[in-house]
Amino acid sequence: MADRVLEISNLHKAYGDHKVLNGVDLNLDGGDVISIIGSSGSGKTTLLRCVNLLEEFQEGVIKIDGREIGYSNSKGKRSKVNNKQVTKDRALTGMVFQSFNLFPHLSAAENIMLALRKVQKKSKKESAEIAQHWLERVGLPDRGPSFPGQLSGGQQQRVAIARAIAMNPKLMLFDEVTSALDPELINEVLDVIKSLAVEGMTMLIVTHEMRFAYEVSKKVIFMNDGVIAEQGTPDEIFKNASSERLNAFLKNTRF
Amino acid sequence: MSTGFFNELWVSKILILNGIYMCILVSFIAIIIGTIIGVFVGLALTYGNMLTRFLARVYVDVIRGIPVLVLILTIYFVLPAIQINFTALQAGITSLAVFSSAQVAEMLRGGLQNIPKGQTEAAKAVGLGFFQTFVFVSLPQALRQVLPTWVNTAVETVKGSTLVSLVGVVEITLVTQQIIGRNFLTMQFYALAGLIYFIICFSIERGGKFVEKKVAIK
Repeated sequence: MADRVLEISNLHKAYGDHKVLNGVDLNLDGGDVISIIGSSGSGKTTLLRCVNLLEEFQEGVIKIDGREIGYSNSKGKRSKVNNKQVTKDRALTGMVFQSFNLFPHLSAAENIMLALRKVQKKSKKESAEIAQHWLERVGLPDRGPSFPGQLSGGQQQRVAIARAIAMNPKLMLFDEVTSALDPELINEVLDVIKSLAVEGMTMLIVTHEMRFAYEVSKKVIFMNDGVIAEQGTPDEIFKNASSERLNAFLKNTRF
Repeated sequence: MSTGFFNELWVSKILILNGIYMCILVSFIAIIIGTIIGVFVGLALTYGNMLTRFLARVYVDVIRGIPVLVLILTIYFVLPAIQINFTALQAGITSLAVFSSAQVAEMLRGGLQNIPKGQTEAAKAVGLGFFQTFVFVSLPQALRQVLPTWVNTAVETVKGSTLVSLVGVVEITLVTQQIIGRNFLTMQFYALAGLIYFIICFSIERGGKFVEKKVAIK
């Protein structure tokens, strides 16, 4: 049996009265690739952000490698862990954003090196080597000295992937990473993610690219109104969708 | 007997150089102190809790609403009433520093708040703590954004330094008045004073532009 990397149970999240997540349960084993699809407002992005502890949540437990992150429960009393621990817990996951969010004042290589040096306290030389390794890995071997403003959207997003994965996270989170890209730049990014999947990276992917989700995922999750409405293999979800809602959603999306 | 302008200029050269020295000294120290205070006040404005934000806001708004001249006169003539006795020079520097600190605080707040939320989230996501995020991600971007306005404040401070002549600091303006009082070459020496101020301010602006270009985000 593969080891359980991520375990989400009964996750609830609300902004004031507005409930976004209404009890989500989800498990990922090592090497699993799970895609989350669903219309906007269904809570997919919020779910990812909770796993990365960018959002607080009111109820539920998220465990990575069997250990609860972000909160502690002792004698039935739930409390947030301190900021230092949040930062540590957050480092277990790598997150890639829709809008790249590269640091514009740093070169591509420096973007990757920053956290290696300041968080993992690696030497400049070692960080540079790791950065170069991952730049090559995402197909940008000679773009290290370039600044984000000098790169295309697809290149920026690939640097962002390299930046996240260079930290050696247990789990990679992709939040609609191609939504801000020109159509002709989407594939170069998806190809990088696919190759990571082949290598056995554990990944949780929120996406609107249905064909990509179909091809890359071991399991696909359809979210609706803050809950997992359907889940199954890509074939079960895309070819034999049973529920009306899922069918309606798929009808309105490109494949 | 005709005493030419250049003859008078030669006679007063030490006075004028002293005036320039005093102007630069006052402005320079004021900008440095003002920037240091301003950074702390700006941080309080941006990251402080309700109380510190409120206090910082009051400080900035009050200072920005008071003319520099009133600040100078207040610090020199009113503070002695509560046993704070500044020399004219100290009073001048203090008031200009206070003036520029309010400007710096406000511009730093603006610069930090203008940084897209995605930047700090990305920093968090790669595991940087709050302080590291500030030092390595937010601040470098805010500083670049703030630089042109900061240069502007530096220039305003130099120009504001003329006002310290009113409490008796012998800087360029007061020196000029003293020289004119002796030789009555009003037009020539005021023109010279204007030229000197222009050169100082223009150099600061050029220097600022140069640095701006150097550190510009590509």
